[in-house]
Amino acid sequence: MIAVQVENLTKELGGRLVLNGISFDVHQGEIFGVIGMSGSGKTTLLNHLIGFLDPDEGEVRYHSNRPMKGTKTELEQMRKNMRDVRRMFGFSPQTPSFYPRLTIKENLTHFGVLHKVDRKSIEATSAHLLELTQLEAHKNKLAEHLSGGMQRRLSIMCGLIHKPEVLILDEPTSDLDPLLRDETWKLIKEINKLGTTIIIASHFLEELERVCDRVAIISNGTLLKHGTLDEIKKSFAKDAIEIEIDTKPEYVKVIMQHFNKRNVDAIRREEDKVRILTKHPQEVLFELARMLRSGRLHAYSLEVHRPTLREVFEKIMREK
Amino acid sequence: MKNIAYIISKNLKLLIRSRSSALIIILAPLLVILLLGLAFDNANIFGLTIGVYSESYGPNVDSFLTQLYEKELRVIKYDNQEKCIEEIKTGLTNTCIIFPAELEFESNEQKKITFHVDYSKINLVWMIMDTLNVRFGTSSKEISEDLIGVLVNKLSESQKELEDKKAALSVIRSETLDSQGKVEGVTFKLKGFNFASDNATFNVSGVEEQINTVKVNLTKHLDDARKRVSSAKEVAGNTTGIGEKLENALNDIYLAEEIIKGSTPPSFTRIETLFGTLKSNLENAKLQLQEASQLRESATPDLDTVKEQLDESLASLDNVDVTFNSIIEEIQSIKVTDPEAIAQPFITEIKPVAAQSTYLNYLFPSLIILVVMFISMLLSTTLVMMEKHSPAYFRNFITPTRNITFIIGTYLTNMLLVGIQLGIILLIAGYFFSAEIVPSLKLSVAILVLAATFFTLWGMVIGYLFTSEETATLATISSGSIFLFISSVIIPLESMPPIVRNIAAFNPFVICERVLREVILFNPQISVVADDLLLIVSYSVGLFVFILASQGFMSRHFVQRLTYHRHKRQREEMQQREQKHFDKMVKKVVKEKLKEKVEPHRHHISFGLRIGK
Repeated sequence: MIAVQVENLTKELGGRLVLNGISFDVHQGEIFGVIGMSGSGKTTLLNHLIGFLDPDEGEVRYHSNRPMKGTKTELEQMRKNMRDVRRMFGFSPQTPSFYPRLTIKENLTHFGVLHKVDRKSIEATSAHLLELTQLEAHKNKLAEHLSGGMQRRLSIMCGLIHKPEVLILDEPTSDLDPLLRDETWKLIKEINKLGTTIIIASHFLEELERVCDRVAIISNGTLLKHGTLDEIKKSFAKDAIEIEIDTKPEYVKVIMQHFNKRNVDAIRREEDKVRILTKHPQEVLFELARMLRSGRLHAYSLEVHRPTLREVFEKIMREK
Repeated sequence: MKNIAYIISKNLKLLIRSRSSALIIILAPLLVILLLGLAFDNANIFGLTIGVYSESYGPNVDSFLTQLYEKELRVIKYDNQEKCIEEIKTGLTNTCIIFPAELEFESNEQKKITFHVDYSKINLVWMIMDTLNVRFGTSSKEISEDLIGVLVNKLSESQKELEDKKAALSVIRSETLDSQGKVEGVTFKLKGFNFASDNATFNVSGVEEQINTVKVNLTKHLDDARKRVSSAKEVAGNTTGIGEKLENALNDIYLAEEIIKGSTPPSFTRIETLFGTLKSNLENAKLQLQEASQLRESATPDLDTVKEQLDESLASLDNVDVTFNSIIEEIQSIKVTDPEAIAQPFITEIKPVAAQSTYLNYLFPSLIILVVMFISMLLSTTLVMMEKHSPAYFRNFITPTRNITFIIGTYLTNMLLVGIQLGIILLIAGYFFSAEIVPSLKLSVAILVLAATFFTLWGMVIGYLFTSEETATLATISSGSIFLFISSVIIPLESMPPIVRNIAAFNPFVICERVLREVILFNPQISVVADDLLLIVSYSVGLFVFILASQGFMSRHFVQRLTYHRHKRQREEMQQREQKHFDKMVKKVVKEKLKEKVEPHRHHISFGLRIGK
């Protein structure tokens, strides 16, 4: 079931087309990743999702499974009524978005009140969120005194205090060290398990690959691909296999010259590594073995694996 | 309503938790009013330092200086006029008074005392002028009184002298009158004298002829007698006794003849001589009479002239008398004879329509509106900017809470804080001027609330319009300064060009200050100030509507800019971090790989290298 429907979203800012007819659906209960290079339009897209920016063309529709006043036809009217829509989603922007001089509890209460949640519900939700984020012991600490990871968790909590159906996260793990990033992803997964649909924009592709059910790849405001990870990888690599050869720099050139477009879909050089993407792995591996035997090639290691999201993304970007 | 209450409580918490801003926001206005109060409290002017210079510091100059010392003014004597003036510029003294070489008033020459002041220090100049003019005015008045006292005494003495001399004038007049009478008498008498004389009148020749006739006749008769006696004697011859007797008669005749003819006295010759003398004397007398007559003829006009002159003198004396009388009357008609009253006929007494002790009483409304203006504007701008720059602003913006809730929350927070501060100020003020404030407390508070509302909303407009805290604060202070300068607080509005006065009539600061002053000093009915209050209310409504209409757009614009810049900055930082991380990882991997892979295969590598060669 569709939670958020984005249709032909187009926006021009400062004479530049920052979103160009973007359309995708976000399904209820899934984790949807938005990936793209810096300046590709991820944050602008999210700003449209939260109603902060109005599109020049197209629209964003939120579909609620909560009992609504009126009939379904009134959803259109509800879309126009941003105050109602704003109750449906929670948002955690890229930068901390809470009062540093209020405690965790005060911040949660403040945003709960602003979302018109009654005090009892705020108390209950706060307790649950504090437990979920393991910040109960720090609930009376001023936000400015919290660590970076705690602040990030508080920011997410503030977006969840009114129990939104959709949680939108913009770069939730930027500025965090790897351990904190892991914790944050764990938290996101747990929130998702509770039934909240999550839309994440991030540039940590490996991490997105681990948590997202579906992703949308954006470049220069244009949606390049969207779908499940497998769908994207398949559409990109068409069952291609990647062979990674770790060797000395002087042999990289030899490999590049030897495999130039022969049984190879793509070949990429990374200093002392060569990555070969091929739909004919057997032929390629045979050739490599021959080269090793003949002494034309020396290699420290040779790995065979399917392409990662990063690789697919990089490939797409290069093609673009 | 619950939301508004929570926003207010959140705002207060944020303000209180930022200790420095809390201190500044809460204590600064109190400090400002304290300082302003001290600055404008003119009960003591001991802060003034007066430089003085005189070519010669005589007793009169010292007397002036003593007066200044008595008023607790600090006085520095200079022996150089340039230095005295120069030190005003450096701020060592507030004014330089140049005394003339001598202050004695002995001629019509006025004594000039020059004050050198620095007009750039406007308030100080007024204070100096006020203070020193009073001191020197007093001294000048005393001198004037002394001088007028001398004049009045002289006048009084002159009057007395005139009255004394008036008696003498009467004596002179009566003597002159007497003289005039005498002159008239003399003239009359002179005119009555008959100096006419002629020979016929005296008949000297007749007398002479008669004498000659008598003499001739006597001589003839005597001669006859003698002849007869001589004949008788001859006849009587020797007859005893007769002859003798005849002899004797003859002798007598001879004697008589001798008397008539003889030259020895008594003789007729002598009579003739005497007669001749008499005649000559008569001739002389006649001549003299003629001269006298001539003299009288010539003296009579002179006497007439004298008489006329005496008449004139009398007339003059009468005039002098009239003049004397007139002068005396004039002097007597002078009713103001008190030198103090003449020196200062008008005692200008400025009576306050309200009780006064210091300038502070009059300045209090201005000061309190000034404080309300600045704290309301600064506080509201700070609150809006604090909110705008808060990391939570964006999140607030996307909540379902309406903009008006935030606006009202900010406004009420501000009003609450201003209210607390005003409460403290009014409590302190009440302690000092309870008599003025208490009767009009309700209306005063209403005006202050209106003033605080207007300036709070003004500050909020600035807060919403400007992006950075610095420019917003600058704009707040600038607009506050404009309000202040186009008012009577620094320079009287009456001294400003008409166009500025017209603008000032609509200056909310001027309106609030004027209304509060009226209310505190005169406690009028609300209807008297209703128009002004309505104007402030309409200003406030206008501002509120403007905020409401523009806040959404301005906030969205601001957040867009803010997020854009934050995003850009973050991206740059992220790229830098990634680059750093990547470099670090590459180094680490290279190192590890070298350790793990290169070392065990050293031989292969060397071999490979060899082969490669």
